[in-house]
Amino acid sequence: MVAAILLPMGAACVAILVRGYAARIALVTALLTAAVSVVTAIAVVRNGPLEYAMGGWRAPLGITLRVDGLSSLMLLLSASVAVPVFVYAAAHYARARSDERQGADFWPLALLLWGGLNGVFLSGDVFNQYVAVELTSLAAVALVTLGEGDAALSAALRYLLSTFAASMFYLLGVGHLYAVAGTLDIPSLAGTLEAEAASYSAAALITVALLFKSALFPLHFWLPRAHSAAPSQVSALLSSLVVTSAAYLFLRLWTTVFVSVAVPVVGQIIGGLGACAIVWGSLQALRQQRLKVMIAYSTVAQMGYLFLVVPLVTSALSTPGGGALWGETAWSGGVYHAIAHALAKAALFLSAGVIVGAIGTDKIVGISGIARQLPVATYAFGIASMSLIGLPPSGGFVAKWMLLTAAFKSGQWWWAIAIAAGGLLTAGYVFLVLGQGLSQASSDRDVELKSTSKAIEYSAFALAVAALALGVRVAEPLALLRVGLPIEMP
Amino acid sequence: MTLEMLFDMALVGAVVVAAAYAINAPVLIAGVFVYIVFGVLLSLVWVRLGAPDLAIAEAAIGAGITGAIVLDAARQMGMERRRNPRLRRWPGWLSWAATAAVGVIFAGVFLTVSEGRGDLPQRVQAELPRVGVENEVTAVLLSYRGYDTWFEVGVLLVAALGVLALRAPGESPARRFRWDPPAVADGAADMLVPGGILMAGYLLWQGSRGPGGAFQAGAVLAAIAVLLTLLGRPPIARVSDRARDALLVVGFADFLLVGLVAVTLGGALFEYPPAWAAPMILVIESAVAVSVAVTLSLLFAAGGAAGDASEGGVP
Amino acid sequence: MTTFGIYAVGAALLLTIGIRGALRRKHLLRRILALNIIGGGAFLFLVLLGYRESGEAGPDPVPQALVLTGIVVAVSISSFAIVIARRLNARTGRTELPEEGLD
Repeated sequence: MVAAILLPMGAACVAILVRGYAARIALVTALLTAAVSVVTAIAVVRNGPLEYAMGGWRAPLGITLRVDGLSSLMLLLSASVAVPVFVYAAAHYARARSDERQGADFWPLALLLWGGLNGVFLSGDVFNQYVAVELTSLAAVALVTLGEGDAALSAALRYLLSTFAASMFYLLGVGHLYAVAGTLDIPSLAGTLEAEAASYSAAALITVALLFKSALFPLHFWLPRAHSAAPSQVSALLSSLVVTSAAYLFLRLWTTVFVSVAVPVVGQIIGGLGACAIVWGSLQALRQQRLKVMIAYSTVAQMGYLFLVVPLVTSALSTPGGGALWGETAWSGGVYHAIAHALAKAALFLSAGVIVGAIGTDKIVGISGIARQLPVATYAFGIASMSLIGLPPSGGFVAKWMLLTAAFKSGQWWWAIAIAAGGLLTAGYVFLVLGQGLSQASSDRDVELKSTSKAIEYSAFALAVAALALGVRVAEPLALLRVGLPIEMP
Repeated sequence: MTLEMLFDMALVGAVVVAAAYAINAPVLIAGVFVYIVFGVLLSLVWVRLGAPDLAIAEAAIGAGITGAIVLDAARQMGMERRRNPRLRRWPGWLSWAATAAVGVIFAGVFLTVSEGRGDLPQRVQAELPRVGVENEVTAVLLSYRGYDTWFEVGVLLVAALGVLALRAPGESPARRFRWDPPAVADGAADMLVPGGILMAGYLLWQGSRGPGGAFQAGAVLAAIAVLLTLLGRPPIARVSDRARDALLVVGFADFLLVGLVAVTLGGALFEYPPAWAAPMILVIESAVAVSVAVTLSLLFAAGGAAGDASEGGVP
Repeated sequence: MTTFGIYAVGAALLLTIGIRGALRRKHLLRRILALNIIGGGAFLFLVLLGYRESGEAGPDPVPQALVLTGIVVAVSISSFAIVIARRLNARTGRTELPEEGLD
């Protein structure tokens, strides 16, 4: 399991030294890391959660890495996104000679980003998570600056300043945790927090920091610019994995460390922000003229769903039998949504990259008739959209179904309104794009279309199919998720 | 009221006033100067609170290198169209009320926290013989939580890669100042360079026993590089791109390699066998110091290169 | 008031000054300084946790190690931010981020 961190990190070092071979090194590393993630998942299913004491020092003195079902699913997710994105990037940089230098900068940063993400997913220590999150955020910002023009620079800077503020709040929150518990190890922290001012302050500071980093409304302002100004292969990594890693951390900490200080009203507020994010982000997506900005606003909306888990799970924790009735369903639904969204979103950004690369503009009106010329990319976009809307049989459908069930069973039907409205609005904006794409081609554009490669188109397609497959094979991921469930529900 | 408390109050007061002035100074460059003073005062606070390792790091990195970088940026971006423009989202009284509320809440929470809980400090001390260094902070950084520190070196590496990715095609990150430094400055530099290198080596060696270590040593080396850059002799311009990349990555890579060597010796990752711990930690620290130095001086030099684009291309 | 109290109030003031500055100043360098001052407040709180009023036990080294990491992270972020800001300034003459709304 440690190899899932070491391989990308080590490969990054090599890729810096021999930049000419960076793409090949990255592809081999991607396959190896994916294999490690699969092996880890099998081990977790067979033997239960795994631990690894770094430096041979057991917690609380040292840092202990931990893999339960959730962490293992996240490892699989990062590999499932990274492998196709790397294939896309390798094919793109091999063709676009003008981007050769960008490629040399892309590979080491993308590998470090992946290593950092896996570091976040495996870490069992709040300060170690802080350092891993910082590594990830800084790599994400550096990747955004690879985009074109002043827009990318100002977007990256806005992202960096937001993440800087979040980083300092998070560190201060970690300080509070150390002050009240004298340890940084998550299992030791869980259950030791008492109802005192510093515990609440820790929860508030870390929550604000992670809401910034996962771009929950109204702290999303940096995301649409940053994710749309970056090159498409970067947008795919950022919009699928980086924001999800912050949300992962949020859910992980709220269901372990902060359970004892979780107040129901805070759950309702966070759920309310999630609902606002769904509606506001979708409405903004609907008004956008440019494809990548639309997809980026869609991320703002889709992140909202993850935070609906908070009121549902906190209410289940305070109700006897609530866990069996709806708590576990809400939890699984939220995680399933994170995974389905990540796969679909990466597919959308990659297929947008194919389309924008071929027609040379990302104006939505400019893509009319693209379905005939780039069928694979259009199919990828369509299938990923299905999952995003939540149509059966897709991963998005399963996730939304579980969230809806949990909302009704808990009696908090108001969340169901947000979920349904989000689905309708999503259908609205993706059909605007698909409608353009499927319309009759204007005949003069055929000549202008730049050629694209099979590998590029099919990497987007593979991701879309993965999002769909999550709706067909449901039992296995859910079984994995149940291994070492972090929360014990009554 | 004891004399000691008067000193504490004066020091805290000075730190707070410096912080407020650094942000709100009518003239930007004056604020930047005061920010450097703030860094120096903060390092005095670290000494007072029994953290000499931090005092050295703050003076060298916080006040020194960051100060030089901000000052150089203020030279370029110091002009403000309006005097110190600010956002007025809320009416004045409301923003002051909110500010006061934030301050009271923070102070209120902080004052509820008493002396540290848990027995971690005792455990840190108890295991020290197995770590191979006597300085507790170094033990935490390089051994108990060495994995964190590896990531931290990774953060620096990412910053360096980010800065390199920003450069325009064919541009060298090394910038030259367009002036002829007086000969006496050159002479002074010639004297300072060996002294500085000696000091960095001492901090590195000393780090296992007393205050000091890789980051402090690296920062001192970087300070020399900044000085040479200001004198128009940027050391980073003397190495090829390849060598520069290698120097940037050596800390992160060497840290990982030593960690892996520990695995081949039968331990966990970064688990140094007690007999070998001291030399292994020194090997890591030396490489990290080199990378810290090259990264920080690159971050300084690159700022200048980024700014020069406005003044009509590369000199 | 104890030594702990004096420095704790100082940390709270630094955080407040920094947050106010980061929200209200527009000039990029002032914002970056403000964020660094927020960092200073956070570091001061952490170091204070390791401080021991009575001289018998030495200070707790763990928070100090965390702060050293924090300082390195802060310097990485802020100097990278300054390089981006200077490049942006060189290309557009701007010293502030564009207002809300996509450009």
